[in-house]
Amino acid sequence: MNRYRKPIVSVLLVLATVVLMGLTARERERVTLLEQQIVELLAPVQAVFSRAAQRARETAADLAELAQVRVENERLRGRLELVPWLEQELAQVRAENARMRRLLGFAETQPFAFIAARVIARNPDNWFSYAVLDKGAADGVSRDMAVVTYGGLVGRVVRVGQRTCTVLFILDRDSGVAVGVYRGEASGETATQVPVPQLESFGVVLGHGAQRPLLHLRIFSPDAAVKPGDSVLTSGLGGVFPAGLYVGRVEEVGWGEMGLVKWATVRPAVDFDRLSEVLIVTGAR
Amino acid sequence: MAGTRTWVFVAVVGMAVVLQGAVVPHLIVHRVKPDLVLLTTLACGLLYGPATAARVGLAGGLLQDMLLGKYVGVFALTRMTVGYLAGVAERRLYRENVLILIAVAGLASALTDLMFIGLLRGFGYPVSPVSDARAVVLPAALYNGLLAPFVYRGLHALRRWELARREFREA
Repeated sequence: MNRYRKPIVSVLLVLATVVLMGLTARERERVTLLEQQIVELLAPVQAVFSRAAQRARETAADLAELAQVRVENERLRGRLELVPWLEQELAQVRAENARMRRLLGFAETQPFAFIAARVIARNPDNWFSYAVLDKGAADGVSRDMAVVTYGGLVGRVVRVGQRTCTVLFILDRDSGVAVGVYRGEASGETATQVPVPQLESFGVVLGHGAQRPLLHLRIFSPDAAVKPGDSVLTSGLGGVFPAGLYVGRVEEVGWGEMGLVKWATVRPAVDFDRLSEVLIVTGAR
Repeated sequence: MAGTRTWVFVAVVGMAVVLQGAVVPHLIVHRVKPDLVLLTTLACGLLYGPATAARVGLAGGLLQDMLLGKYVGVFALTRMTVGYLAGVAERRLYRENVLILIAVAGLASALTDLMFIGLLRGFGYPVSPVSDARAVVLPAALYNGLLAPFVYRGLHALRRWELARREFREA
């Protein structure tokens, strides 16, 4: 009898479960007490395990996201480090753009033909005043061409290479510019457009060197009524600079030692310390 | 065939001339610029002796002369002379003292500028020993003096590297 006990129990169990399945297959109005108790007992335990499992899943997801965030953070930090540099670059480009626009506006209103050039080097010493430009004979530049900016006269070309040229500033002690002194206000941008009312005298403007950025004006007619505020423009008499280029404004007028020669101090219109783009006058338009 | 040392000096002089033309004009203080070529020559004089300093001064000065294209030789002569004098004075100076270095560089700068004035006046360039001494020579001497320890340190490091390299080769 013992031999058949296990198979009989197994078959009975299977039959019981099948009967149970049959009884519970349909929608029931009430569940049994046992079922209720089991659910009630297991619910808190299941809740704890479920929360733990959910937290583990979230932690795993967070870790994966953290790794991504770290990579993203590194990338953004790298870009953020570029921001001050980019801002500086932007400011420089904006300033350059403004200068170029002004230079272009100036060039379009002048009766001259120009070649635009960039300053690539300045004199390395404390004695001379010149700059090297990035345009040369290959671009149509030749010796003694006048160099201007929207402010006014810069100087003249003294040396020409194939791709570069050297411009001697009007500040240099070797520089001399034939000028006229005119009553009335002018500027680099208006000098050749607005008819300046009255010529007071002709003269020559000499440089003092880079240390003293004021020009020395030797006035040819001692009885000329030159006074501070008068405008100084190239006269065209020297044959190098075309007439009508604005040089600067008279600041002070005085007499030489013997009282025979009248001179004036002229403040140049160009800021030579910040010169970066210029125009080379190639001739009349 | 030039040795490594010669090429190092060529690079140093070339770099000094390039920086002098491209960077130094942006370092204007009190309307004067420092003189990197002079300071390099001076440091070479104090570290390598008169012959090397004179050669460095001549080469650097000639390059500057070529860039100017006028009064060619004026930079070469002044820098060569000052380099040679610094090299001769080297044995009598305690050059590790920063104040001595500043004073020597200031004096060398003033001497160079005074020679410059003399030479330029001789060729008719309108410079004035009195007003230019005040406007250029004195501020430039002060500026060059203050920068001299930095240039000297740089070339001193180069000298140490050269000595270490030689010892390594000999070993």
